[in-house]
Order: sequence, then C-alpha cells, then structure tokens
Amino acid sequence: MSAVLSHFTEDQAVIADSLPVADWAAELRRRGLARFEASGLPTTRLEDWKYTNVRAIGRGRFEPWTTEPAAELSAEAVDALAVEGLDAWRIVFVDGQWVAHLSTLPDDDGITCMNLRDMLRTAPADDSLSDWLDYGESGFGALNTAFLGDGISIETSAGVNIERPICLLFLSTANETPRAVHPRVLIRAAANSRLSVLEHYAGVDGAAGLTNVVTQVQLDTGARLEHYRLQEESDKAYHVAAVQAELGQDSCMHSHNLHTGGRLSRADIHARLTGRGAHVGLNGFYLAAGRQHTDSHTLVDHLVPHTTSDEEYRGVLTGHGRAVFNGKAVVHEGAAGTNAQQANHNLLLSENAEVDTKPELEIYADDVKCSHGATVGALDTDALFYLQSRGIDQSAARAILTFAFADEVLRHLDQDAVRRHVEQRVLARLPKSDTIREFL
Amino acid sequence: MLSIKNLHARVENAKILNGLDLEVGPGEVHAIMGPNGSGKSTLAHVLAGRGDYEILEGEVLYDGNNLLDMEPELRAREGVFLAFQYPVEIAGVNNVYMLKAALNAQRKHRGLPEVDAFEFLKLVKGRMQLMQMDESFLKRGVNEDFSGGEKKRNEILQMAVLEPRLAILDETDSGLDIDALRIVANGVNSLRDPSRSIVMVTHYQRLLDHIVPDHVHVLANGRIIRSGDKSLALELEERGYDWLLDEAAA
Amino acid sequence: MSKGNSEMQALVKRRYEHGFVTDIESDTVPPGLNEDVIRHISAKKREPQFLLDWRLKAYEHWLTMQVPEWAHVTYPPIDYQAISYYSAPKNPDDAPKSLDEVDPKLLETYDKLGIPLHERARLAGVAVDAVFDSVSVATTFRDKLAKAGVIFCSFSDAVTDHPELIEQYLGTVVPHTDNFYAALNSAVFTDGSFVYIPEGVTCPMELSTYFRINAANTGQFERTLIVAAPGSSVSYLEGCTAPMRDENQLHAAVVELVAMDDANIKYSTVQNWYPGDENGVGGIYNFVTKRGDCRGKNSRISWTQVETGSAITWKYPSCILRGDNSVGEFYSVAVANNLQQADTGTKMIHIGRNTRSTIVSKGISAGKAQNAYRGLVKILPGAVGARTHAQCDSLLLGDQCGAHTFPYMEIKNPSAIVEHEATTSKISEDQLFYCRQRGISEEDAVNMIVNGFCKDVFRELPMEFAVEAQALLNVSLEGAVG
Repeated sequence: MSAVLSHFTEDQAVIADSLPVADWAAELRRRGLARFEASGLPTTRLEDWKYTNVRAIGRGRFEPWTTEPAAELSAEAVDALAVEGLDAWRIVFVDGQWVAHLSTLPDDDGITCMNLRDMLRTAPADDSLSDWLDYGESGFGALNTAFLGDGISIETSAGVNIERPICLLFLSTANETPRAVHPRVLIRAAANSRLSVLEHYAGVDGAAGLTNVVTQVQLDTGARLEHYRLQEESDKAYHVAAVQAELGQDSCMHSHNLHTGGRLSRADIHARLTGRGAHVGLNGFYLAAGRQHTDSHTLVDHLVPHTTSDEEYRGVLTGHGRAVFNGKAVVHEGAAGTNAQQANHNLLLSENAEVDTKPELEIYADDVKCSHGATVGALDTDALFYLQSRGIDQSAARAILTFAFADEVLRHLDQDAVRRHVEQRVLARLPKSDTIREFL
Repeated sequence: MLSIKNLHARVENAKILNGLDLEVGPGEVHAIMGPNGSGKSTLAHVLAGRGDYEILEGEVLYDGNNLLDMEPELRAREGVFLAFQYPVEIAGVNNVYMLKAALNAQRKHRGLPEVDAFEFLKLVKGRMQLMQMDESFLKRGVNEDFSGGEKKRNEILQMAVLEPRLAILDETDSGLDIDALRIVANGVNSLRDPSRSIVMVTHYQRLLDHIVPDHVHVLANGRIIRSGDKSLALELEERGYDWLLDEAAA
Repeated sequence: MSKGNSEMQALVKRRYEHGFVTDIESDTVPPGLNEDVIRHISAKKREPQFLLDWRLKAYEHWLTMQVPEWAHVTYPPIDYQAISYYSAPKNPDDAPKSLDEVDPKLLETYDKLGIPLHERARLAGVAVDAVFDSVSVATTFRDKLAKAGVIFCSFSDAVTDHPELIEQYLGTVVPHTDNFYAALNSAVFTDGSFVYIPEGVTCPMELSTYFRINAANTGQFERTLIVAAPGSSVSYLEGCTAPMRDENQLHAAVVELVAMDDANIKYSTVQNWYPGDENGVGGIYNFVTKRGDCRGKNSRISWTQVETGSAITWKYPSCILRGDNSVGEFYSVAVANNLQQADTGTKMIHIGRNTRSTIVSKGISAGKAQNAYRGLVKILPGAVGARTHAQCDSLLLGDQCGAHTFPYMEIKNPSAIVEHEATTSKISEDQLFYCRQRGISEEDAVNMIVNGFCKDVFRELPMEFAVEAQALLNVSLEGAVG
C-alpha cells in the first residue's frame, strides 16, 4: 500500500472514535474505504485529471476531522467571512462541523434541515439512504464516503416555495496541522417545490486544509433549485468538490459556480437529466492568480427526450494562475429533441498564466441541437485603445475591460448580495479598482 | 387545371381543413384570404405534399390526375410550385446550383435535354434582372443569410426559372416593404400567362393592389365561406372578417 | 421524416466499388514478428546498416509500448504475430524499370481503380507512385521531374540512391519512439514514397501516390517522407483502396513532412480503404501517424483529407509550427457509415512567433457508425502572437449513430487568440421538403446538402480530387439517410 493510501487508512480508523456513527454508517465508511484503496487518488494518467495534479494533496499530512472544530470562531468572525447583506437562513460549519449556536434554521413549513452527524449516529438503518450516501466517483468521492461524518440534509415538501435562500457557510480555521474535512450535502426537492441553496466556502487567512465535499441533489417533477457554489477558500487551502444532480420531469436547476479561492481547487458538476422537460443551466466564473490552480469539470447527461442544457463559464487568469475547464454534454441514444449549448471564454492577463480547455460533445441521437465554443485570448486592443483615447489610463482601461468580461457571467446571478460580493472580490484582485467602481 | 373537392385534413391532432372546395381554371389568378389560423397555409402545404398533414377525406385533381397520390418532387416536376412563406436556409448549398438541379430534374422528367451551365447562367441572369437581384446572389447559399425580402424575391426568381403551371404563393407579401412588394408583384405579373394558374394565399388586401386576382375566396375554419371578384377583397379591407364569420355562423 | 426515411433506407445498398482481388503471385514472408523478420526485410531491400540499426532500435522500443486506448473506438486485440510483414508482387529483385515491365495484371488493377498511370497520367499531368501491398511498383514522370531537380521515387529507391537524405531526415518528425503504431512502422516499414524539392523549386506537377493492400493477412506499413527545401513548393496527393476481405487488415503508415524557410507543402488524401460490410465484418484498421514540421520561418503545411473508408480510422495529421510566421492547416471530411468507427482530427503545436493554424473538420455519421473529432491546439509560452481558429461541425444521418467532439486547447501565452466552435445537427425535414418541392429527389437533396456541408474542405482539394471525393462521398452514404 502506498504512503498516501496508508495514511488515509490510518486516519479513517481514528474517526471511528472521534466521529462515531451507527453500524450501518460504519459499514458505508468501510465500503468507501475499500473503493478508495482500490482507486487511490486520481493521477494525471486519467483523462479526467490530465491537467490537475493532486500529488500535493496525497503528500500533505492532514489531521482527520473530529466533532470539535480546530479553533473557535466568534459570531463577528463568521459575519466577516459571510456574504454581506445576504438575507438567508444560515447554517455554519466550522472545520466541517455543524455549529448550532452560530446557525439559524429555516422555520417555514415544508422544509426540513437535518444535521447529518446526528443522522449518521442515530438514524435507523435505511437502505435507500445508505444507497444514496454510497457515492464513489473518483478517489475523492470514495474518500468522502470513507470519512462520512457531518453535513446536512435539506428536504422540501411538494409544492412549497422557500423564498429565503439557505446558506451553508463552511469555514476553515488555521491550524498547525491542517485538517481534511469531508462534508456531505443532500438536497431533495419534492414535486413542484422551489428553493435556493448557497454553499459558501471560506477560510481564515492561513487555513491550509483540505475540504473534500460531495453534494447530492434530487429534483422531483417540476422542482426548481437555484444552487450556488461560492468557493473562496484561503489561498493555501485545497478544495475538491463534486455535485451530482438527478433532474426529474420538467425540473430545473441553475447551478452557479464561482471560484476565486484555494491554492488548488477542483469542482465536478454532474447533472443527469432523467425526466422529459428537465433543464440545467450551468453558470461559472473562475479567477486564478498567484500560483492558484482551478479546475472546473462539468458533465451533463441527456438521458431522455426533450431535455435542455446551457452552460457558460468564464475565467480570468493572471500571475502564474492556471485554469482547467472541461465541459461535456452527452446525448444518449433515444434522447431526441435535446438542446445543449456550451461556451467557455478565457482571458489570459499574464505571461505565465495558462488555460487548458476542452469542451466536449458526445452525441448518440440525431434530432439534436448542440454546439459549443471556446475562446482564449487577451484583452481586445481596439477596446483598450478606445478607452485610452477617452482619457482613461491603460491599467484602468485593462481593469475595466477585465471586469466587464467577468460581469457577463456575474450579472446573471439572481441573488444581488452574492453578485455584489463576487464583484467586489473580483474588483479587489484588479488594479485601479476605485476607478472601475466609478463606472459601475 | 386544379379541382379540390371536399378536402379534410389535419396536422398532429388539430383538424385544419373541413370540406374545402375550389376550382381553378387555366390562366386564372385566385386569391385566398382569411383570418389567421383559417387554414390558408395548410392548404398551400397540402397541395405541395408536405408529409406532416394527414388527408382525411376528399380529392384534389391536377389536370385530371390525383395530386394527393404524388410525391412532392413529382408534383414539382409536373409543374406545381410553392413559394414558401418562410423559405428554409440550406447552408453550403449554392443557390444557383440547387436551382439548376431543380430545372434539370424537371426537364429530365419531361424528356427534355438538360441545360448546361452556360445556358443556365444566361437564363438565370435574365430572370434576376427582372427581380432586380444583384449577381452576388449567384454565389450565396440557398437563402443563407438572406433578409426576409431577399428570400421572397428568391422564391419568385425560382418560379420564373422553373415556369410552373400552377403556382401557389404562400403569404408572399409578408415581411416586404413597399418597394420590395412592387418588385415581387412585377415578377409575378410578368409570369401571368393563359396556361399558368396562380393561387395566392394572403392575409392582407395590399398584395392584391399589385397582383389583381380574377377570383377572391374567403377561408374560415377550413372551408371557403364566400367567393367573389376583386371587390370582395376591398370589402374585407374595409370591414374585416368578422361580419363574414358571423354570417357564416348564422 | 417517417415516410421519406424508409424510402431512403430502401435505396441502393451501399457497394464497395474497389473490392476486387488481383490474382498475382506474391513473395510473402510468413506471419510473425521478431528480429529475424526485420533483418530479412532489411536484407531483401539491401538496406544500409544505419537503416537496419534504426529498425531494430524501433522494434526494441515497440516491445516496451502499450496499445493506445484513449481513442473513441473499440476492436478486439490485434495479434501482431498473425500478420505477415512483407508481401511483394513476384520478383521484387528485378523490379520493373518502366511501365512496360510492370505485370499487366497489376496495370489492370490500377485501371480498375481509375488511376491515371499510363497515358491518362500524362494527360492529367500527374506523376504517380503506386504502392501495391508493400512495395512501390511504378513511378511515372521520373525523368521530367528530375529535370526540375525534384526527386520523386519509392522509398526503397531513395534508400539506394539518396541514403544521405534518408539518414538526415528519417524519423526527425515522427521519431521511432513516437507511438505504438509509429514504432511498429519504423521497425517493419517496407516501402512508400520519397519526395525532395530543391531550394526555390516549385514542383512542376501534382505528385500522387496510390496505395493498395492486396494480399491476404498482410499488414501495410508504408512510410512517406517529403522534404521541401527553402523557398520550394509541392502539392502531393494520396489515394488508398483495398480488396473486400472478411478479416481485418492492419494499415499502419507514417508520413513525415519537413518544410524549411518559405517552403510550402500541400498534402491531400482521399482515403477509401475497404470499410467492412454493413455488419461490420472485415475492413481495414487504419492507424496512421502523419505529421508535418514547419521547421523554417514563413513555411506552410496544409493537410486536406477526405476519409470515407476503413473499419477504424485513427489518424491525426499534425503540424509543428516551429518556424516564426509558419502556418498549419487541417481540412477534413470524415464519413462513417454502417459500423465504421473514426477517431480523427489534428494537432497544432505553436512554438514559433506569429504562427497561425486553421482547422476545419466536417464529420458525417450514418448507420451505426461512431465518428469523433479529436484535436489538440497547444500554444507554448514562446509563441507570441499565435492565432488559431477551429470549426468542427457534425452532421448526423439517422438516430443510431454517434458524433463526438473532443477538442483539447492548452494555452500558455497571453497574446494568443484561440477560437473553437463546434456544432452538431441533422438535415432538417424543412430542407428536404424545400428541395423536393423544387423537383429534386430526396436522395439528390441529401447528397446536395452533404456536399454543401463539406464545401469548405472540398475547395481545398486539387480539382481532379475534388470531383472524385464528391462522388466517393455520395457512394459512401448511399442508403444511409434516416
């Protein structure tokens, strides 16, 4: 057994005591571990990981998560990291652990939020729950199952409209030995219900751990979900995320993926359109500066007739920043009437920035409308010149155009507070942000 | 020339034509008017042989032959021409190339020698002058990136080259400004001939100022509810369709 | 298109027109591969020591390699010991000196293929090198080309007559270690073409090679090397056919192009290897490595391919844009019908400054075929001002087939402009009805629309080839509309 495998195996034995669970959940952990031991962490020899090397995660020594956060966070410290002005129910996780006194749970009828840690410890054995939790895509997915310990289950009843968004705030503290946490988020929307869920990942400066999260979504007939992933981990942190969504008939999910943090981050969004009339919209923005590496993988499976998807990801790369984008749409046999559109646009702002993009189509049906496009380039010199000729100095002009490029995606965010928050974060990375603010 | 008797047709599950009768003699120009959804375009497509329409009852004789039994391309080769309301774009296929293939398919069917590229170009250029189209049309794909007006002119250009015996013009005036309308109408008028019949489907009277019909019919709920001469069109212009619908219902 | 559909399917079943076997004696090495076989091939061809050494090095390396599995194709494992690695029409030792000495049956073969070898060659102004199974049988117009200083001959002749050029350039674009099939080819290649265009010379005519696999159980491993000296220019065409056979046959060729400063190479292929029958029995496995090196500044390499044949196509004609201002182009039509599988595309590696590449790929899938575009555009840090544009379109005829697009873009320079677009569509019913309303039959309408879809590629082909390609496309898709 390799060193990487053995230290995760040792840690997994530790959490049997530090994060105890019921027998059925322990069995689930064992299955996850067995799968992880068979696959190990992904290597660049795998097509899906060709451009993202996770050796640093394998080599890193992380302390396993426990029921106790590594450090206390005051309510003020939490507020400072949260999205300002966001009117939302808020559930706070510190180092992966649900912190009840910092959280306010929704009190609407028709929505239930349950602490996964309690469920794993006290819920009776339930095959359908076990089956659902038994997630094993890639070595990281298996690892998440092997370390199941906390997270949340959100369920709506049929027909309800939960207007106030639910914000899951995952915060990492700085610790001498960085932690590896493996939260699980379950979202199940019953027929014709609507809700918004925001997963927000942030860390205090210097937080250098690994967040390895899995989110599973089930949308029944006619359900609608606005799903946000706001990844703003500290620039020393590792972030690996997988979202798997099953979309039933006439259901609709808008997935907004905003990645500006982390030293190395990877997100896999997998939408399976299993009911006629289902639609998924994938909206993404990534920014990598310094030595950040960000990898966005999306996969949309059109499994039945008359399903649609559209996707637009934009990225800005500066410094030694590197981005990977891989968007894939698969139209399965018999899925006639599919409409799948995909676009990825990248702005390279520095000599040492790099982008590797691969928009893919796999089509096994003929009555389809599919297209994709990708561009990579620098700022438009004509537009730069135009702004300069109006008296704006070059660096401000560059910043304005960069912001405008990003805003093409950001302006589609329906939560104003989130949009403002991300815009500010993007602005903060650009020079001359004061000048740009005047133009907004 | 064309004889439609008790025609009933439906598309998907909607019944559109409900016992339509129409007689068109050689050289005659008929206008078929009616409110939206009355079945005008369905009639045009059924005559051309579009597959999505199901004929439930009735017959259509063209020169005494059963038109409904014929494949669309056979109808075309026998001289039935439909000027589409929304001509489709076919990217990459040259406009002139398609037209030449169409003309030669028709000539072959009639036992005539095919025209060569040189003769054909001469013919097309002559007709293009008539339609006031510039030569760049020759190089473009079929309706590819054409404006609405260009598409309509292109339809009449094709009609002028193919010289049909029965031309069906489906809302040919829609989307045309007044100058383009005049050009299109001039094109059609120059093709009026004692051996050629024209059926115009239109919602508005204004086309009929330019192409004066011999007969005007009002189609409603899939049947012809009133026939008359061109004065009927003027009356409709003034009074709308409602009074006729009321009368028909009464 | 329910009704039109069945009518179209009832149309003429596809027939492979080039599927005859020529009955001539051949000198074939028994199946199997080991060092002795390689030494035998080398000895038969009276090769210099450096070439034998190179072959053995390649063989040694090949033994360490894995079969590539990343392509979107599936086939049973190939038994490399069941293939014969050398088959020559009788008496290769007294190879024909002129057309008159060529076996008349062979000439008949080329006649059936419509190759302009004899008088027709002169009329067409095409110089032809024909490779039959493993050896080159005749090269026309050698004299006329020699006057212009152009060398156009079989690879074997080049080894004998110009060993210094072979030693200088062989394996410099596709090294013997490059990939599994290229390594195999390097070990066992038997013949192919060699072209050298001297400095400043524009080749006075199109050069052309026809390849044919004839003998059973043989693999064909030809190797083509084209070197364009500074300021020279050449247009080269290749065509391929094979007889109908129940078993699969392997074709693993290597093509290397070298363009020096200001040189221009245009390489066109019409590939019509036997694709197998409609149940997927038989057909050629076409695993080919083609690469051009724009070594000099302002050089240009342009690949145009029309791929209608082969049971499996695995082929990525590529350009290494090393010289500043060099240009790489790839124009491709790939048709896959019945149970054919195609995984083809290109690689454009931008190294020099202001390098440019253009990719136009048109994939057509019909029957139960799988057709994938796979491409790589790589812009290295030094490629300041690089530009690349790719357009990849797929047309689907029928709901049993697949069309896939896998474009990789690795961009490491901020001044690059990279654009990639892809679409997938089918022929719409509205388009078919429009054509039929004008009197054009459904079959003709489909051919017309398909040819229109491929137009941007066809216009890159030399005239005679464009006509052939268009006809071939129509034949390939007969009965395919659904």
